[in-house]
Amino acid sequence: MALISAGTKEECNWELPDDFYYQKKDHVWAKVEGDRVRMGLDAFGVWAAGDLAQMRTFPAGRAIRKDHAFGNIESGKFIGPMRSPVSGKILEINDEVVANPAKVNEDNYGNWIVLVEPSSLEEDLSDLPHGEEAIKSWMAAELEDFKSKDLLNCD
Amino acid sequence: MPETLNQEWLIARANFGQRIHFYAPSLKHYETTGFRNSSEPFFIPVSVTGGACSLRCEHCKGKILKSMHEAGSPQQLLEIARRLQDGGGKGLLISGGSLADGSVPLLDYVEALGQLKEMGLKVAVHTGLVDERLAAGLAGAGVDIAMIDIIGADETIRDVYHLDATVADFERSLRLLGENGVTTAPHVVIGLHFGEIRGEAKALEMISRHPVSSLVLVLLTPQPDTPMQGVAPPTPETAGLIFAQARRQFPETPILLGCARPAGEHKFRTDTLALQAGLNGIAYPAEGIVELAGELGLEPVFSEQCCALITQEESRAQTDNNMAAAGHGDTDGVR
Repeated sequence: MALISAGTKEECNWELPDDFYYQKKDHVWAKVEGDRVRMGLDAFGVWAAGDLAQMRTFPAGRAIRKDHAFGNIESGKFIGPMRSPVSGKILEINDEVVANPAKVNEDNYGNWIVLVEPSSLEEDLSDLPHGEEAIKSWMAAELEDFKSKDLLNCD
Repeated sequence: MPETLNQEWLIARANFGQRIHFYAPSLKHYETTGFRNSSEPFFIPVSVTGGACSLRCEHCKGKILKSMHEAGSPQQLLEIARRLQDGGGKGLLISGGSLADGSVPLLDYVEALGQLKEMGLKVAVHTGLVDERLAAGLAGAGVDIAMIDIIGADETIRDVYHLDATVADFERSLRLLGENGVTTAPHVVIGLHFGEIRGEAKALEMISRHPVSSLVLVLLTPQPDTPMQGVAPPTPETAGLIFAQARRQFPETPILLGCARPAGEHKFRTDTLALQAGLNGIAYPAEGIVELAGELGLEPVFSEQCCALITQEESRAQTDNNMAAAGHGDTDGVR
């Protein structure tokens, strides 16, 4: 588990599993499960977005592309897409979560969003943060970016 | 062509031409197929009370303040503004929690607000109830716009805002702002009384008696973990009736659909009705609305400022001039 901390406030500490992969722009996690990939939103992304009010995804069976939207979300601080870490086909959607996206605020790793059959997994994963060191390096830059925009109020 | 609400649509086209304004200030990251805001802060919200609010309204409980920058002193406000400007930002929405009397404690910030204007920044303020001193102070500071929620039912003021005040106190604030020459954009929260339509018509009537630069309509959006969580907001169709009423009542005043409204399909339907009722602008339009505006023959103008900063000059039809000047659209904002 990569532990990321930006200050003393409890809400400013995030856990990102180091055996997951991450789509950096939208903080979508990807967990490889055999020949399937499960996806959701990472802890920092959920913090940055705030309370999720709405979620939509493409339907099961739809082909999706790496770095392109597989759905979108709306929250107190974010209206925009969720981009996929990998290309492939949506096999399953977590309908409970899509119907009540606040579940992601409660447990963002337990409440996955889509299950995907990847089409070029090895290639797609090759440039995604994975492992404690890579995740911490990526998140250090991410925190610096947020700090430069006055978006981190953690002390 | 999608259906329009004929009378209101015609009023808007006669008085404002084909322009429709879309807004996405930096209160949110916003990205749809038709419009996205920049990743750098451009127009940011600041709370002069941090997360503190004495009213603790039933639908909010101070939660909206949490996403704002905190300026606990005028000096902190100026520091935030300097960093914003250094990064290319252009303006601030100065807000805050309310004191128990319904005012936002802005008086100590008046001098700093004037300095923000001297820096060349756009300044919008959420005032809450104002007294003579604050109205004069805001005028002296030269703020670009004062925004105040106007409530038209005493029971809403009491039961939702927990405020010992009356509709007359809200109208007095409007009067003081007007008398002092402060450009004012009143807001009306549709469905504020636990989702019911209660004081909206009265609020519009009150506003009609005062000089305002624009009228901003928003919908009740109960926050999670508040007493109103689970309260049904007004339906899009109910809101649409208020849009139409407002358009007829304020034929020459820009009317905007502001930031707050329920998400998802509700939002798309609400935004569609706003277009059809001839509103002048929409903040954070739902996915597909920019495209729908095009299908209706409207010409989108995009901005990352607060929608209340619209001016009548901006909103009036200038299509011919713009087309001539830029070959296709306005050189500043039409995308």
